[in-house]
This record gives sequence, structure tokens and C-alpha cells, in this order.
Amino acid sequence: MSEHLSPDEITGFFAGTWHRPDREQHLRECVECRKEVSWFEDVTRQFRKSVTATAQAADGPVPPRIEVVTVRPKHFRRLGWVIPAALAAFAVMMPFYTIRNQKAEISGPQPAVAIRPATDDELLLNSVQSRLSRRVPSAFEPMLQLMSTDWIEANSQNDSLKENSQ
Amino acid sequence: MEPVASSGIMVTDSPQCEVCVEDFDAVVRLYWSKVFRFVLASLRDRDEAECLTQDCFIRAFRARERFRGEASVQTWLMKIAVNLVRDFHRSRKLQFWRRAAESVDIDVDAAVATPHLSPEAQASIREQLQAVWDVTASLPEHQRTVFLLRFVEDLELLEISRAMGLTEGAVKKHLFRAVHAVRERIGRNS
Repeated sequence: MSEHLSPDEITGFFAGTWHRPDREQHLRECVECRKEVSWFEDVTRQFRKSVTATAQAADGPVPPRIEVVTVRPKHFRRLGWVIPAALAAFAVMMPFYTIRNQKAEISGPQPAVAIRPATDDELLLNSVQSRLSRRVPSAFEPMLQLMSTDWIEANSQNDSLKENSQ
Repeated sequence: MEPVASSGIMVTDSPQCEVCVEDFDAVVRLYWSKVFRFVLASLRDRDEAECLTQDCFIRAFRARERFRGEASVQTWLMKIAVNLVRDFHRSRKLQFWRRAAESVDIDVDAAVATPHLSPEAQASIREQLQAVWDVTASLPEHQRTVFLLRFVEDLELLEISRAMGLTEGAVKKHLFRAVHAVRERIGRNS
């Protein structure tokens, strides 16, 4: 009988890296090597039982029904940074917003004050202009409408000649 | 291989057989415990395991139209679960302040509840099992996943390679290292 299987050969047997017919033959014939292999098989089988029992104890025997829309607080926990980040951004932006508002309050009312006197002045100038451009006082305006335009023009020319001669 | 469920679903463990996942409730009933077991053994956190198992089935439900039956339903679900566990570990690496102790009670008594074993033998098995639990927790991610899929979920190497998106050679390499680490820890590799 050939040499017993080395530890690496036994490891290779479980890892599937072992392709030597002569060693397989030895394994079939050697009680000691078979015992070693079956011992590790027992260990892995017991480990499987242990993992299964642990999972059953943790999860329970009945699988929960899967719902596509589920509330998963664990996932929300991953977004826990959003609220502090939003607060920090708010704290940083708040002074800029306040300064901007103050500037708007200072520069805002000025145009309204400037427009009002300009409008009053225009009205005053218009009224003065209309008074100066009258040919006769306002009380004689109805009489002026009764006279013909030729007579008025002729009279106005005579008046201007008299003024020049004086 | 015989179908393992009826009522409108043909689910088998053989990748060659036709698989219909129209009755998704049946898929959940069949595979919930397996996926949960794998995720729990990978994470050792009951709440996270439950959350990720739910995510796994939600993703599977949304992607069921695209499932062509090239692999078994179990391999397909395990692939989703492996990806979720991998993403979880990546995100957890960055969140160093959230690395907490295990939140699951490991049950080693179920495996030794055999009447013909002596108390000494039971104590020895308990010790070995605890060592296997400890060493799988300390293994690198690929090695742990391969070890769990092979020895807990009982998947073939080809199915593991499909679930993990690795070549069969890479799976063998990771499995060799994992088995070596476990055997060394329980004192059988010297």
C-alpha cells in the first residue's frame, strides 16, 4: 500500500483540486485515510446543522410573506445623514438670505419717492403753460368763441403794431 | 431529479431542467430559509440578514422576467444574495463606527443532540463547531462565501462559480484555502 494521504491531499480532496487515480485508489483501500476524510465530512455536516438551527432560531420556521412595498426602517437609517446635512446647509445659507433681504429693504422704496415729485411738477408746469398760452382771461373765453377768427387775428396784429410804435 | 414544489411552479436543483418562476410565493416558501441561512452565516447579524434576504427576494421578483433558467433557481437567488452580501461588506468597511459585535446566538447544541454520544464527545464536538464558526468569521470574504456555499448550501463547484461570477479554478483555489484554514484551526492539518 502506498503512503497515507498528506493533509494537503485531504484538503484538496474536499476542494475538488485532486485528480490522481492512484491516490483515489489508496483512499478507497486505506481505513485510516477514509476515517480522516469522514471525520471532516462529519464536522462540515454538524456545522451545517448548527447554521440551520441558528437561522431557524433567528428567523422562525415560517418565511414571512414578501410584499413589494415594505417599510424598512434599516434602510431609512442609511439616509440619516440627510437631516443633519439639510440643517447645516440651512445654517450656512441663513446669513446670506438675511443680508439680501436687508439690502432689498434699503434699496426698495427709493424709486417710489422719486416718482411722486416728478409727477406733481409735471402737473404744475402743464397748468402754468395752459394759463400763459391763453389769449384772453378765462372769464372772456365764451365771448371769444362768438368772434370770427379773422377779426381776432387782425386785432392782435394792430395791437402788436401799436406796441412797436410806442 | 424530481421537482421540489408543485402548485404552478417547476423548480428543480438541476440547471438543465425547465424552471418557471411565475408562482413567486412558492419560490419564497422554498428558498427563503436557505437564503436567510446563507446571509446570516455570512453577516452574523440577524436584522441585517433579514433585511438583505428581503432585498434578495425583491430583486429576484423584479428580475423574474429576465430569468431564463440557465441555472437553477437556488443558484440564481444565491447569486443575488452573494452580491448583496458583498455590497454590504463594502459599505460596512467605510462605516467603521457601525462595526458592532455579532447579533445572533450561535446554536451549537442542535448538532450534538444525539443520544448515543457521551458527554465528553458532545463537548468535543461543541468545541470543534465553535472553532469552525470562529474561523469562518475570520476568513476573507471570497473564501468564506465559497466555504458556506459548498458545505452549508451544498452547491456544486460549477454552481458556486456561477453564483459568484468566478471561474471554477478560482473557486477551487478559494475553497482549498478555506478548508485548509478550518482544518488547521481544529488541529487536523499538522
